[in-house]
Amino acid sequence: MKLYRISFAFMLLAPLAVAQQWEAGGLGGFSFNPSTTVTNSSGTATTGFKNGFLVGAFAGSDDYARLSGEASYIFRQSDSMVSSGGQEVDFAGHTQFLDFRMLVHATSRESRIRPFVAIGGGVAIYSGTGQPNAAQPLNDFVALTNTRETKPMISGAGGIKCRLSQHVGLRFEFRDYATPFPNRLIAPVPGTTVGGWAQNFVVMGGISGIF
Amino acid sequence: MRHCIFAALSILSSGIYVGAATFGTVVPIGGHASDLALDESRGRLYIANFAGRRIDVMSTSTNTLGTAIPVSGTPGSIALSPDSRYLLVTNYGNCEITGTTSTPCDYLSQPTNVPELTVIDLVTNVRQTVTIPPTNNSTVKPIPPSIPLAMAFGGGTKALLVASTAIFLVDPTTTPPTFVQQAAPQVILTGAPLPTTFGTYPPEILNASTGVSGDGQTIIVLASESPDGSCTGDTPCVLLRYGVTSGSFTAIAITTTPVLGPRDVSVDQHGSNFVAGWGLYNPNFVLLAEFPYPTGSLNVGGHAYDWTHNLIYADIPSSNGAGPPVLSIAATDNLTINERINLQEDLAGRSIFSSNMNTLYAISNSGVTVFPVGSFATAHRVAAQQEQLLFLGTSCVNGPLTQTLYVYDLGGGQTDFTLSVPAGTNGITFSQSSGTTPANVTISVDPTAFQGQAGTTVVPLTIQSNGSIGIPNTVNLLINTEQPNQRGIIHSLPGKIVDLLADNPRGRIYALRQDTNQVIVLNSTNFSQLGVLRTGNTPTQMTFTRDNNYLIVGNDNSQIASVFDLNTLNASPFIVFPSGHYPRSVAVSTSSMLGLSRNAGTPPGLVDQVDFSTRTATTPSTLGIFCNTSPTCNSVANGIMIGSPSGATIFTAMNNGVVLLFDDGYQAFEAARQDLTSLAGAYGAISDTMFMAGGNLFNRSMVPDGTITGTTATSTILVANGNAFIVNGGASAAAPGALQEENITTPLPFNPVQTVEAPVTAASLTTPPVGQIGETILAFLRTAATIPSGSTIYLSVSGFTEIPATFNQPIPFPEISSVTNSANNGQTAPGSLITIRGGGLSASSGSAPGLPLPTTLDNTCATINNVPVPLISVSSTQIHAQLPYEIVGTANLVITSSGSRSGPFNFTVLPNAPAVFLSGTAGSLTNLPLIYRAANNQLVDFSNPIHPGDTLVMIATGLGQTTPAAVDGAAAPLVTLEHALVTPTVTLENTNLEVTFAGLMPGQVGTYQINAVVPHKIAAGAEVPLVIQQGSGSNAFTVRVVNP
Repeated sequence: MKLYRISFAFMLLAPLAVAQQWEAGGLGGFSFNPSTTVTNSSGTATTGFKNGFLVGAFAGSDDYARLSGEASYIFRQSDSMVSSGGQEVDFAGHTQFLDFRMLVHATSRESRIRPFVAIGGGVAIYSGTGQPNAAQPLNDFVALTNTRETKPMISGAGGIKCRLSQHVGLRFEFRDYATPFPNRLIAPVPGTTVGGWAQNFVVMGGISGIF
Repeated sequence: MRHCIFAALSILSSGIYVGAATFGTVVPIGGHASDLALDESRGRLYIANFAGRRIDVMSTSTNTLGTAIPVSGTPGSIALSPDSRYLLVTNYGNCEITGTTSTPCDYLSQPTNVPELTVIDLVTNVRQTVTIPPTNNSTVKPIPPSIPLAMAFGGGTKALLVASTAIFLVDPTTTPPTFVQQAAPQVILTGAPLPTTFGTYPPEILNASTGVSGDGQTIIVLASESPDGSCTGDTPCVLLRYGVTSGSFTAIAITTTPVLGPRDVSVDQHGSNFVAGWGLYNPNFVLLAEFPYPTGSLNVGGHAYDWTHNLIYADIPSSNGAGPPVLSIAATDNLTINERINLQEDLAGRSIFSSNMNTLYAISNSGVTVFPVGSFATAHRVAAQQEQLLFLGTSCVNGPLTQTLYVYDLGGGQTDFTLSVPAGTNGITFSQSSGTTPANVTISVDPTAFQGQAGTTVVPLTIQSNGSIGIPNTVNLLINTEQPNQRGIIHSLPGKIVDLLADNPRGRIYALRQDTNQVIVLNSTNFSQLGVLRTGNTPTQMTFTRDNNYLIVGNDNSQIASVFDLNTLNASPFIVFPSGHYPRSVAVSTSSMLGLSRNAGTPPGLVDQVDFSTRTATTPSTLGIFCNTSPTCNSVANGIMIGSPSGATIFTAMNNGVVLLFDDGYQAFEAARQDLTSLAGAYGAISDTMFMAGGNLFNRSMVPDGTITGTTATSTILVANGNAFIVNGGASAAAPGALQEENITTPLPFNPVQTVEAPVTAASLTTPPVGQIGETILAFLRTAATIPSGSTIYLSVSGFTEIPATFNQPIPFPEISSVTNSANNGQTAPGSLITIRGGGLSASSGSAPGLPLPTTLDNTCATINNVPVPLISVSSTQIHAQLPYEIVGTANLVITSSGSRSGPFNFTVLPNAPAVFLSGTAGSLTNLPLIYRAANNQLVDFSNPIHPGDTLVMIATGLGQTTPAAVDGAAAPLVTLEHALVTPTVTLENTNLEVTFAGLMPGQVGTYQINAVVPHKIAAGAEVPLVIQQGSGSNAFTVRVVNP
């Protein structure tokens, strides 16, 4: 429900821009997720999310020559996992990223090639969809949980846009979605801690329509 | 008027039989039957009516008499040719001889009474009567007549006619009939003269009988050389075997005491074994077995050999006292009495089967009794499945002891029965004292009624049935109320066990059961029955061969010693002893085997020498310088022999005080003394130089060398390694035993400990004999053995009692340190599963075999406020049990184990003390509470957290009393749920869960289940308090809750 409300807000904001150029498109790519370490009295384990493919969409407007804004939605297949001593446990799940960001382009709006950097924020919705198992292996470190956890997110990105025609654009970019670690989804058992941030590195490309 | 009186008398007389059905239909003939012939082609039974001077003819379809065939003389025997054409009838015509002349038998004005044979052609009705020719080789002048004594057809065309002076083969097809005298054997037989005194019957006059094998190839004749039919030394009886096809004769003369009666012969199918009088013989005339208590009466009783069912039907009156006539169903190998059947009247001579073996016609007092033996298997015979029932009470159990008796009809029918115990017996009740078979009768014993008895009380349970032709055996109810200071474990073993041997290399025990003629083979570890070995009749003692490969069993009512191969547990060829010798005891030395036999003559007991390789025994006339066969020899049969452990000597003890020693090295009886006037009791060859009988020690010269302290003639004594294991009985069989172990060279003051049950003694084993079930209780008994576990077993009232080697060590008193529930070691409530901790709680470890839970386990029991506690398992440090439902508040626990009793331990029992079991495991996690998510039937834990809407299932104990009320130690019913009387509340972070069920788990004891539903809106958390509250009791956990 929160997702829908945020999207609707972007839609309301869009008509306010003037002399603006609209752009909307689809995204696809791959997510690399560095794991984090969890320690208990018997040893250490690594936990986090497995790498996974993603798809998404974005929409934005170029309001200024080098500055633009856009919102994006990414759905990532991302099983949670914990591993230790050569044993790894996976738990089915996915993550939804929803963010709004400001893009600063290196070239003007009329350039065919426009490198850019971006920074923004939003939310990440982590979902565990696997079957709970009371006898989950490595359950003395973390419990991989069938639940949903929403975390605030900041994002940073860098990439390049390429205008194939007047109305068609192509982009490639690298993003980092950083959220506080979802410790209800990957719950450290009492006596252990998992802290810090969950980094979600994304490499993706997209195609868009420009209006 | 006369009819009315007759009817009244009939009713009164028939009252004799009210209360028991009888087997067979009696057909009175009006006279004395002497012989039978069955004519199946015409549906007739011909009955020689000896005094009635006629042949009665009975229809076999209606069992009614038709027109008789008159004969001119006294029909002693009859025979029908195999083709059913010729009926041969002998005229006994035994004139009393005065001096050397024969005078006519001028009784009843009969003009002539000469021995005659009448041949009746049943086809042409032509009758020929001829005089039986005198013998052709008589040296007596004038030549005596050939008095016909018995006659039979085999499978041939000629009849065998046994006359007083000769044996003839008679060809009835010639005119006149042809008599061919047989050259051998030379016999001089005789019957009783006529006229005779009142009350004298045909078998007592003829003195002879024949039996024909089923294949018609063998005819066995039993006759006597004495006019009174006796079988004494000067006028023995004769057993004659005639091969019909070969024409061969074999005969032996035998002397018997008493007379070999009833004067009847029954032969098996192929002429191998046969019953003559009271003896079962093999083809070599070896007495395989005899009915133990014959009266010797010639005219009362009879038998038939049913080879199709491998049974012998026998009516052999007992010398132990007259009673109602009984047909014994006996085994064909050793005459073991399988069943006893009521008869309407006694048999009185010969019997004959129909060709299909379904009907037996037997001469009986009134004429003939017709037995439908083909339907015997379905005849109503009420019996009990159990021979004895053991009620083992303990000092901490006040409630009734129960056992189930299965009463059924061996014929498979529904037959009435009633149960009774002797008048004045208190404390025994039946779920039903009468009813219809089949029935499981629960017998309850109130142990408080027997607390005055410190041992085992034997109460005979009598079963009666009006509709049963069988006589049900008495069932012994054995009631033992063990006292705390008593030692031993009772093992039930029914029957009259008269000897005991341990075969430790094979892990076996051999128990000699005399009343069923068996060696019962038991596993010496768990005492399960491994097999049964069939002995001769009335076995008395066992011994091993030196190589331990064979077991030899002496028998008191057989001419044989039984031999069994212990490697295969099969019978091996038996040892044949001389005629008239009954080997009661056999002993083995290095190179000799001796037997102490009961002798049918004098002296009453003597020593036989056994050749084991040929399985034969001979009787030395002397035992070196000592007598053996001399009639004046002072030996007796009531004694035993035993070889010394090394095989160097054989020790013999007799109850008249005689002791003998046989030296194997010198092959001589080197010592024989009679310093004591009597001897009895336990016996043993302790070494080659020390021997024991009844607690008396003898040296190698058989000189009395002291006694074992504390022993008597009734002591059970087992000597091993210089120590004597001694069990003495009390004042009665119902008293406990007194046990002590003594060093026989340095005895200590006798300071026994009590055992749970008294040992058997010759006196306790001696009971009134039943029918023809043999009972020979020797004065000397071996009733103890050491088994591989180190325990000693001794024969006792209920079977045998096991005494551990540590019996004389003090048994630590149980000490209780704590009582907690078994779920979380917390408080307890009625019905809780509890854990009792402490030391010395049980001498051994054991678990309940099933449900309901026992209140005594491995000799350990417990009470709380005097209520027996159902036990799950016991060990020295812990007892798992169920707290009885009736206990609330202050509880007083007492544990009794192996005779020791703890002091009282007080603790408090709350009305409710819910405690979820902490026995769950999940992966590496242990001790998890048994709280399940119904969604996936997995334990709730951190990786399986509670979700909104979940149904939680909690397994606990301590929810207290239920409705309906639960039963201590019993499984909760599967159908009717037993709800907790007080429903618990379950909260999750202050949110009440809906409790949909709280009560006992069906099929479980003391284990409850709580089902609770989690609301759909619930706060999530990693450590959310879950609390079960019931009355003042509670149980709390922290659980993880997620809320997506």
